[in-house]
Amino acid sequence: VSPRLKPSRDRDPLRYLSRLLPASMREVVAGDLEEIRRTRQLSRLRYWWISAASILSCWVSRQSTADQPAPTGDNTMSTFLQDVAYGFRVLRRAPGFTAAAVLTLGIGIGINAATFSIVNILSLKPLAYRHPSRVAFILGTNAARHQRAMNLPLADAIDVGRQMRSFEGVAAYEYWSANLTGGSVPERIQAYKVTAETFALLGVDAATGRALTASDGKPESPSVVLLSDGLWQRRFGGDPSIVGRVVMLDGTAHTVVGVMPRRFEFPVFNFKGEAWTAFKGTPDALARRAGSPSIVAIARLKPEASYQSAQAELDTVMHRL
Amino acid sequence: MERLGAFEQLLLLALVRLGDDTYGVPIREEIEGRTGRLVSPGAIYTALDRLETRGLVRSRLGDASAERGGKRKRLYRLTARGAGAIAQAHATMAQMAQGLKPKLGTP
Repeated sequence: VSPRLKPSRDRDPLRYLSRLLPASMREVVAGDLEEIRRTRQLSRLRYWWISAASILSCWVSRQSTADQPAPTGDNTMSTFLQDVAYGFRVLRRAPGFTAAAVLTLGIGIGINAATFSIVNILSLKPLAYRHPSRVAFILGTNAARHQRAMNLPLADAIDVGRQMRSFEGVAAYEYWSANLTGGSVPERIQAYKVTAETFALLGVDAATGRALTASDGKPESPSVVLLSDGLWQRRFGGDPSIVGRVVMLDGTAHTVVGVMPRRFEFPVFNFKGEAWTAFKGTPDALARRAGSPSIVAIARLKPEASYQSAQAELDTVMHRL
Repeated sequence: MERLGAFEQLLLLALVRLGDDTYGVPIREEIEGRTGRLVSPGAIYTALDRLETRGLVRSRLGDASAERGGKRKRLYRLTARGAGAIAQAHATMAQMAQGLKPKLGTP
């Protein structure tokens, strides 16, 4: 008979786990487990159960006799496991302290994660826009109080866009906590109304369908909406035929025109946008001062413009307005 | 008088039944088969270890075998002290249970 390699499935699935057994017990207990596995008809589940229970009971028993000298052959792993087990027992004895510690840790980790995700968006991860360093915020200034604010009237933003020569364009957005209905459960989503040229300015196209374009801002155009990847996955199960579907936003029918790429985030300072619709109206109508919504404006600088020169020009233009 | 836990009593009774030089696998089956209680080898050996330090059982290492993946057995036998302890425990229990069968509802 020629020698044959053993099929790999005959090997003990727990051969690594058996190293968790205390050294003094390992050979005998692992030997029993091996013998049971090879010679007895045990279900896999049952076998796992007695293996895990073996490891556990060896350690629990060691804990209860911890005042005795440790047997030789002890190693770092077993000392570590003893410490872990001791830690758990101490925590179990002091539930109040445990709750406070877990809560403190939880809040600490939460705050850190939140801080990191903001820092990550603002400074570590490049924005998924075309030449993101050329995209700037236009901050409103209250000259009397020397205060800066994010918001300014849409009318101002449109006038700035028309007059500035350092800018390729100006776009604006306004938060819209919209009520999305039509599915199983109504849901409040973080939507934004944006000027129709916003996506052209950012230089990002949709992953599915199309982004909003200038024609979507015309008063006679049908109401359309662009979805974030997250909302598309969560609410519509990533439905590939989403484009053309009609969804209700605050009771108004909007046709889905596209879904943005997963990495796309807009805006970056406010709530993460889940859906975007266009401000409707002719430039003249939008530029009317009365009742102009308070928006956040962004601009894309022309390649030849520097931030200093653009700032100087903006000062002049704003002064005129 | 030796104090014996319930599981220790089961182990000693198994040793009485199985005779000298027995080890974990038959002990486990003896206890599981008679009581329906799930027992792991780890629990058996840790308890036997305790009993050995108390002088109630004695053990020695046996031979390695292929079906155990080349690992040796630890073979156990009752000491005279262990035999006395389990006899005593059993007698105590029988004493206490005497005449209680109808009340306990056991067959």
